[in-house]
Amino acid sequence: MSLGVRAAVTRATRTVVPMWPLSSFIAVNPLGAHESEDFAISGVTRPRNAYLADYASGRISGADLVAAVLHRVPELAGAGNVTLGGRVWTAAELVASELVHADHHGRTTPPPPSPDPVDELVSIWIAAYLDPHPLWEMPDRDQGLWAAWTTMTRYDPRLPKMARKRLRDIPRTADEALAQALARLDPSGSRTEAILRQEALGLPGWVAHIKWRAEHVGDINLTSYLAIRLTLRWALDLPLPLAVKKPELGSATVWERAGTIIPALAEDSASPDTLARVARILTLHPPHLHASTWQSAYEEHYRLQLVATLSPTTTRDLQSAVQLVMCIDPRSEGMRRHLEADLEIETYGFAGFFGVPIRFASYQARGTIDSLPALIAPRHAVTETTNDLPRARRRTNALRFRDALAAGVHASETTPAAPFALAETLGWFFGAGALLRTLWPGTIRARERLHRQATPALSTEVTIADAFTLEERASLAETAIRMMGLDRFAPLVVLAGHGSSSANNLYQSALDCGACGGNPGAANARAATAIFNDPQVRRILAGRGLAIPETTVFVAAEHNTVSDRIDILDRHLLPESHIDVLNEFIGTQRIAADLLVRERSSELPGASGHSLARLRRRAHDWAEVYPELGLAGNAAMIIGPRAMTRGVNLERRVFLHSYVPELDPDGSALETIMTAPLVVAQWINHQYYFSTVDQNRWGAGTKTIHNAIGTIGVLAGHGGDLKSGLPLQSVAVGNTNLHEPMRLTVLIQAPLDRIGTIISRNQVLRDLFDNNWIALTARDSQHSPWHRYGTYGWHTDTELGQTTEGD
Amino acid sequence: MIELVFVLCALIAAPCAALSAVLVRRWTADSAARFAATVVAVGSVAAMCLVPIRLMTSHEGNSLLLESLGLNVDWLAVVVLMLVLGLSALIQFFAVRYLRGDARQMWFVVTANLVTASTAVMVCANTILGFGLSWVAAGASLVALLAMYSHLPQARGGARRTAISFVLGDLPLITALILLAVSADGDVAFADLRNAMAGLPIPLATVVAVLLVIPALARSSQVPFHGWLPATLAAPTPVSALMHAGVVNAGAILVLRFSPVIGESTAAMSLIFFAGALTLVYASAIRLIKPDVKGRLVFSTIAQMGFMMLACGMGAFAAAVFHLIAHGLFKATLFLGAGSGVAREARQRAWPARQVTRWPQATAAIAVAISVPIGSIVAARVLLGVELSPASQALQLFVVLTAAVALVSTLWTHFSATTALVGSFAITGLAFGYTALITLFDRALAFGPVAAAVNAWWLLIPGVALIALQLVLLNRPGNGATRRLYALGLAAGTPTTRITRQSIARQIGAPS
Amino acid sequence: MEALTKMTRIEIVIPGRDAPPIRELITSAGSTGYTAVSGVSGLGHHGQHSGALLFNEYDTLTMLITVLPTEKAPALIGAVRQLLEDGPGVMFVADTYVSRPEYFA
Repeated sequence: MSLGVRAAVTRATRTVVPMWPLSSFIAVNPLGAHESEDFAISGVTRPRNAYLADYASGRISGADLVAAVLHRVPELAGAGNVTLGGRVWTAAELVASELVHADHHGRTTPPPPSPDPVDELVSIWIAAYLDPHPLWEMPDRDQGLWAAWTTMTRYDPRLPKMARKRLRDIPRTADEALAQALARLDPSGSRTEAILRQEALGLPGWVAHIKWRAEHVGDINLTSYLAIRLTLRWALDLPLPLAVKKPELGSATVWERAGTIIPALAEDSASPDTLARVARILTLHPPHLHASTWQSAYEEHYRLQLVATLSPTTTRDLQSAVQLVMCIDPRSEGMRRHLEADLEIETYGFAGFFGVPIRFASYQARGTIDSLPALIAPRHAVTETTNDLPRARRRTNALRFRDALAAGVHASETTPAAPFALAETLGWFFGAGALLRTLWPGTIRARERLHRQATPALSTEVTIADAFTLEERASLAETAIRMMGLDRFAPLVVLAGHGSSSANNLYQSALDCGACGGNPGAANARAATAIFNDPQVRRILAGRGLAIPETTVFVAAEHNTVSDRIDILDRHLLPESHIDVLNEFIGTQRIAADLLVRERSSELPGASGHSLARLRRRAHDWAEVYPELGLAGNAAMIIGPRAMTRGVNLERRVFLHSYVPELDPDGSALETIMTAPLVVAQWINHQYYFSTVDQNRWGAGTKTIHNAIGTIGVLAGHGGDLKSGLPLQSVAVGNTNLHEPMRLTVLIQAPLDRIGTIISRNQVLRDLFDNNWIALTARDSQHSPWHRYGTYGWHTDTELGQTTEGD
Repeated sequence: MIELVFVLCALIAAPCAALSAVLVRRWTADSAARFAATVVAVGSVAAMCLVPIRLMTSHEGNSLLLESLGLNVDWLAVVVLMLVLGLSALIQFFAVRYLRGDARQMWFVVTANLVTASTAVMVCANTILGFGLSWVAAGASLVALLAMYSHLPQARGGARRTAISFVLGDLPLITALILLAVSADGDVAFADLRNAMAGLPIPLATVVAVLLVIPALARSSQVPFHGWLPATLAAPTPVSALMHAGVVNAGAILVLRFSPVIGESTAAMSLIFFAGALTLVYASAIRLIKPDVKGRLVFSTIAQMGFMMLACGMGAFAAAVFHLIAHGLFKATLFLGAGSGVAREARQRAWPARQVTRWPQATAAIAVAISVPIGSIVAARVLLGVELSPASQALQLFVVLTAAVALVSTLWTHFSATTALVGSFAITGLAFGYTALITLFDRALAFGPVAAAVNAWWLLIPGVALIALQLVLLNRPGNGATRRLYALGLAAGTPTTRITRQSIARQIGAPS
Repeated sequence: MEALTKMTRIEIVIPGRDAPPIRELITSAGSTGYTAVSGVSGLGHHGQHSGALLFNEYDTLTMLITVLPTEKAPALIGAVRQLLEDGPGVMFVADTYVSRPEYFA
């Protein structure tokens, strides 16, 4: 039954996480399908000697280990004590010391699967089929992958004659072919799913991308991919790939473990009674948990430091002249911290798409971007309009001219006989250009200035009113206000999205805003600004108890994370009255930007002793593989009022989302924060984590050999699998890590019962927290004690101590 | 004397750089790389200074000094030195930042400089044995450079393929050099090569000539040695840039240096021409099917090298040199910028949608596209008073074709006064500049007429093949023949690893 | 009731992330269309599920409703059953009567 085959394919590829194309890189948890089971089962950690080195250097202390052990196995708290070697060991201390002295880590990286000839035979077909700008389009491409492949594979010279003969006579649809191939390989039909699952392991990058493409574009699916693979296997008489055995964990019995640990802690041999007690205690912490306990201890150390640094003071009553709302991205933390040195500025953190999910197109542009989190589908299209029609016409003509030139060069590059003279004429200019770009990267700005002269800039507005009804806009505004906890409005409110600039960087969209689908956040900032400035919207909001004073003006901006400048957008929409305030803000921002660039340069590879101009030039340098650090170092997320973190140096490692319970009576804003921005932060954190812990398996390898297929993905070298995950240069410099692999530590200041209800209502949060994919610590309010969310619910976090009384 | 100084400076730069990177361990990799790049840059500046020096001073006295060192720095050598040293310096400066933190950065610095050094010495070599030695050294250091990421199976496979192709190509070279040396009782200077050849009987001369062509084909990745270059992509981008821009053109240099031998033999010249023509068509076809950026660049290089060999085969040596230099700069830039696809798409996304071209505009576009290129090339030739050989004239057809294609698509995309004017002026300017520059090369390099050059009319064969290729592209939805061609091209474009070939072969042998 | 044609109505409630393959199955089965309702809430074997989340359709439940001729139904039902076997999700199958059979056939 062909439908049954499709269902089997879906089941077999259930654990495959879809991979987004390179043009809108979305960080995902590569083990996302395993979130319903405990991290210790499928999660990967660093090797044991890395943890031991950290233990030796003090990065992990004994107290951290004990705390981690107790959190993992709360029963140890009541498991009694043991006397060994003259001192009394609590159960937790005993278990912690076993981690240090005995190696039951067990988990070794599985050996790489033996190379499969089918991989090579199939990957070129998939690459050619999915090529977005083919110079010679695959014949029959419009009929689908299976149809195209069946007509042409019989001519494939790499296949022996017998195989080619067999391939002349294959079913017309992929479903039938797959069913047939499965029937041949497994007549009983009992191993269908296992075979399919094994087959899908061959080219994991392609499989992940095909799964994405099947859901979002629809011109390819995993059924035809697997049909091709299994049909080729049959035609070539190749055996099925061997199942890779999961590495066996050391299966030491608990008596052996006890026998190992006791001599390490005490000189004299222990009585059988002691042995039994130790064994009983050790049973509570089986070997398969050891690796993840080490990792928890590693994170615990950071968590304690983080909580200790949080500000003990109460809210200051600020009457700031400017409020700045930035994305939760950790890079914003640095900017916010430097800006708040000026007391007249108050900052907030909010998801970078500002609650306005749109599909955006520039003025009369041919393409669109989906500027919204990957968790939702775009339903509203927004573009730009302008009042200055003559200028718009000139701009359009200038762009068409550029398009024409590009088309001319492209045609002479791709028409068969034309490239030879093209190389001979253009080569000289290209050489001069390459020389300038390499030795003096700043000259690119002269070129850009020329472009801007030739193409007049246009003052436009976003057509937000056409895409959302008044009621929808009012709801979006209300949600945003309640989510952020904006209880008062300054005269100037700046909504700053963020984007990055780099040259010659295939992963540039990984540096842009993740909440905006891997795009710069400018469009959303402008859309949100338009909504907030709309008097009709304000009238409705006033009716709901959220009055925005008439003197308050919102303005859109974009934070460039390489130069750290905040560029104001749509300046022409700003009324005269607020120009002074804005200019003052810009002045303050410039100073803060320079401080931040200087701060970042201490960690940026190869940046020691460079001037600010040189550091900012990295945005234009085509040879620079480290234009900025991106989100490397991300470790925690704090959801709560800025008063918690104002003035604290969080080292640009923390996602900050503002939240104030007073403006959120029913808890829906908190639920939105926990199920959207928190999930996006978790995806990013796990992408960085796994790409750091195992670059070969979950990362894309070094950028230096990356070979792009249009903008859908990269190969490493001349062919093979599509690479998924972050490249080496995003997480490490050679063999030194830039990113400390730690699972996200979430700190929330909100009523605990509210948090608990939200978690229990949402499967995704239950999975993430209960299964130890991320950690949660929370407190009711400023003065309440911190509680840790664990296996048995909330328990007071005694290590964190009491918070001090307020001022 | 001055010239000697500058020549030595240019030649010593690269070996110094290679050595310095090894010796200076106390520095960080970053500083060592930067130092090496600077040294090579100094060398390239020295090479560039040779141009005014050569123009201003007399060459006679200096040449004796240089010959005593085994060097002959004629215009060809100067021009290629500038290219190789300049590109090497540029790429190394690029690599200082691009390979930052890479565990194998020092390997790159040392081997890239070895490649540069041996290529520089090769082009300046005065005797055939000196040339042969540095040729082999260049090949060996290139294989070492390709082994940069030796932990990757693809890189090992690529280095292995390259080594095999080079060995297969260098054995005939060694044989030919031995034959020549034996017949002349010792090392032969290139200036005396014609006399040495006169002493050889005709069949032997032909054999030597053909043997000399084979290494040229191998080094430039021509058919039948076209398999190694596509397999070398598992090395970092700077390695590919250096290779495609500075190393694969060594084939033409060999042909040019040994032109007293090769240029007299019809067999050799025909071999060069037809190998070049075949490679040109083959690589152009495969390039159209490759989906990946670097794969397209690789096959573009192979096709361009085919064009270069074609020009050599027709005796248009100056044109070949002109081509290899311009192409080197072109391809290096494209490789270094191979990561800009995502930025380009983001930029082009903001452009307005293309309008449909109406017939009057389309006809005008075609008219302009045909008249302006032909007109400007003819005008350039007349106004600059240029006399070109039939071969060069035939090659200028390519220029006309490119200009016409560029103009017609520019105007087809957006027909406006601005586009037409700017396009026409650009084409005219470029045509004049091209003609002037190629005449300059012709005069400076001063290759004599080549006796056994293939007749320019044979150019029709690859020309027709390319037109046929274009027609195949336009044939939609296509028939069985186009499908077969596509499948063949797709398979030929990607090297198959040994394991795949072995597994498949094993299955053929296994009982079913 | 005038002559109404009997057809089969199938409703499937699954997490949003699992919806695309089921949509594909529905169309492959020969159904002419389906209705998708996102943000349904509920209580089931795997716990409680909150309703529409403002910015997350991936983790919320979606209900897919389709009507197709009774002959084509068993294939679809069998395939969907396979998919729902060990995950959160339910399927309801019922007879239904339509007045415009050509819309659904």
